[in-house]
Amino acid sequence: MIVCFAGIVITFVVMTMLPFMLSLGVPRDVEGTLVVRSDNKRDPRYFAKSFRSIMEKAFEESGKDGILHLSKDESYILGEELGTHIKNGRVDSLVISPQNFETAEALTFSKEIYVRGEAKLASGSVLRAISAQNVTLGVNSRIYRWSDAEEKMTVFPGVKLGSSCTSRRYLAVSEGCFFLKLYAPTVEVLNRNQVAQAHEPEAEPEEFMVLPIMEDVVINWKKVNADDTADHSIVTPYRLFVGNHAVVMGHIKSKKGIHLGRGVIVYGNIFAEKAIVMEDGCRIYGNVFSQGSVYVGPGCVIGRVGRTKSVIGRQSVILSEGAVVYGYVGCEHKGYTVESGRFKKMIQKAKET
Amino acid sequence: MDVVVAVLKGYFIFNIIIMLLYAVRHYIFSYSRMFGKQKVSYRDIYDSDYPKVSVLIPMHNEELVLNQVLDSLIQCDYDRDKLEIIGINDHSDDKTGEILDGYCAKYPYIHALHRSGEKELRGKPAGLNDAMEIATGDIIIVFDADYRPSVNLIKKLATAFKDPQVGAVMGRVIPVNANTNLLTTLLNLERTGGYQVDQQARYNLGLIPQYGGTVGGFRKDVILKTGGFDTKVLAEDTELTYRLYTLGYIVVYDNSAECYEESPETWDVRGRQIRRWARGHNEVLFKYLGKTVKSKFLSFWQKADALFLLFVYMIPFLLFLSIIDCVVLFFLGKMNIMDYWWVFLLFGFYNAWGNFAPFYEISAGAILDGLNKELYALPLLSFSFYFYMWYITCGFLDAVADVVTARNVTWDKTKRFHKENENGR
Repeated sequence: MIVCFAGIVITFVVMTMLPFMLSLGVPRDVEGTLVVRSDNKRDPRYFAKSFRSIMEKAFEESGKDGILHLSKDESYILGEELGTHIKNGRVDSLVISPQNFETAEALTFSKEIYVRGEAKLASGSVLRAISAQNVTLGVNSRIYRWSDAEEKMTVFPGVKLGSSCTSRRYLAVSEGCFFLKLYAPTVEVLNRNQVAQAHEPEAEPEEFMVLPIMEDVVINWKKVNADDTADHSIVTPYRLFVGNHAVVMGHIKSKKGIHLGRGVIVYGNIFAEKAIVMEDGCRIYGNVFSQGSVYVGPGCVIGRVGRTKSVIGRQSVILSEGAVVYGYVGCEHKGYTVESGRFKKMIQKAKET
Repeated sequence: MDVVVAVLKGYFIFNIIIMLLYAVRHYIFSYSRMFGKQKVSYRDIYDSDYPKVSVLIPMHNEELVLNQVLDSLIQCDYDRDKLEIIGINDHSDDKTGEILDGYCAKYPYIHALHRSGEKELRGKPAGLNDAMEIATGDIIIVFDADYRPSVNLIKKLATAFKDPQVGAVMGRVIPVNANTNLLTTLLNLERTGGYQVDQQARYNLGLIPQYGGTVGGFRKDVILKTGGFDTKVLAEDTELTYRLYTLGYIVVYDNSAECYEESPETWDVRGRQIRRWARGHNEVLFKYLGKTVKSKFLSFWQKADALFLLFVYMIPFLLFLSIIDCVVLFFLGKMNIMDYWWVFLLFGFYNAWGNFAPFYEISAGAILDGLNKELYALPLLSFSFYFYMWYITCGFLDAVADVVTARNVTWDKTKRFHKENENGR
């Protein structure tokens, strides 16, 4: 009896202390009040802008003694001197180029590259981060952190884009590229032949910008028939199928997935707890947000010129060749671009299963 | 006598079952937050088009803290064409109205609503109702006067309303005076468990995140169309949560939408605050229990969580009764603590201690937040539980009296302890 009682008491004490003891075993560094960053403004190009500003300031103040005086002194090489600093295909210093910068062979840059002019990196390049006026990333290059262009970013096939790839104006990505975040006023997925000649599209007429988004909600729909027009928003607990060339003049929210057929137009935002699939030529004027994956088909256009919209999938975002997003694309696990034929096969396979 | 003993023991077993159910719920939440899939927050959306927002700030004798909330809001990055700030000066007899008018004269998007009529209903729900009548925004965001919203907080909160099903959004409250004394340290731990773990887990699992009345927003038209806030309910935030869910809307939680608040620094003030919360919450329980069970919009698990949440301020009262039950059984000689099921009682009691922010949730929150010295105070929450049990029991009885007598409720404002800390927060 005494043993039983003692066992109960010990169990109670141990259980009381267990979460406390477990917590003590984890690194912790916050003293007192948690810090809320009261001045933090969100910006998808935050790292690049911050890097650019530090580089410009340090570069001006440091002169050309080969040392940048940052929080710690950092040695750098000028882009024009690159040839003399390559050891076994590696460059271990920060690279700065006041003019254009181009590599003729696949090199590995272990530190960042900052270019005031245009940067062209050869196929198979490996780098940590790059910031330039215009950036061209050669086939099968790999970036570990981020890449940013002040004007135009051109990404050839098979590039692994690290945590973010951004541009202040225009981003053209070819098929077979992997990403987590893309941002530019215009993000376009092109095939390998088109990407070299890619150029920023012209703005749409202003009068086309005003859309009458219908906020009245209709619930529990499972389907919008092909060629029909739904003059309201849709909130449904079911998987929603929107038939070919249908128009939804409001927002869509589904507790499950959403499938948009060919040529569907949605005026508002699309939210789903599971996958959102868009077949060819869909036109979405709002944001696309899924707690699963997002599949953006060939010729789909999301957002509109001059306005920022987002495509976000918690799992993946798959952008087909020919897709255009005006704004931001983000996912937590893996985003990638695919050739249109492969995209159609993926959708077909998904339909069959 | 046997019947009495059987009833007393039956009540005891009933309590054990209830406690175990809550314990399981808390374990699930802790596990979800630590190891489960975390839902993406709407804050990740970048969008150049935002809705018109009206920020409402209820104020009653807030001269000590009014500047900090307004100065913080003036710094926000929300488009001024789509923003208005309405200070609700609710029967203040200090300089609140004067200070507010000063801001209105300087900033065209700040407006004052002075409520001073003797026949006017007082309190936050009544003030919000009046302010919503003049607000031009589609979205209402509410801050208490002692809060200090960050630059991008309004954008974060407003983004959630792009989802047509979202009726309200809730941000995270962080005590600014966490290390003032033992009480504020304990409150900091409770907040960590309650927001970092409990609210986020409910959002992850598609259950019932709760709108908390401040650092949050809601759709104005939904509330106005359904009669505005009920001035007979003290917990207008909980009432709004249940109203929205029973109308088919959802509440979303954004863990990154953080805002400082001032925690009570004395046990007396905390006791009165928790009693008011318990009273208001139980009023909502009486009003929404049937509607929640019958709702066609809620799934089975949502209903289960909604019921757990509804009863959360009644459980300490039930525990209070069970302690009395225990004493009676002991003096009747029927309390054999060596019975095997007592193990489950102890286990259940332990896991439900603190009730709305139990130990595992708090320690999970402390790990996620990286709290250091505060963690040493974690076992002390065992003792504050008894303090809460008393005040929540009083609040529950208040609510019962409110329902029975249909009396008007009066708002008991939480005392401010404002002083700038060394970091200027």
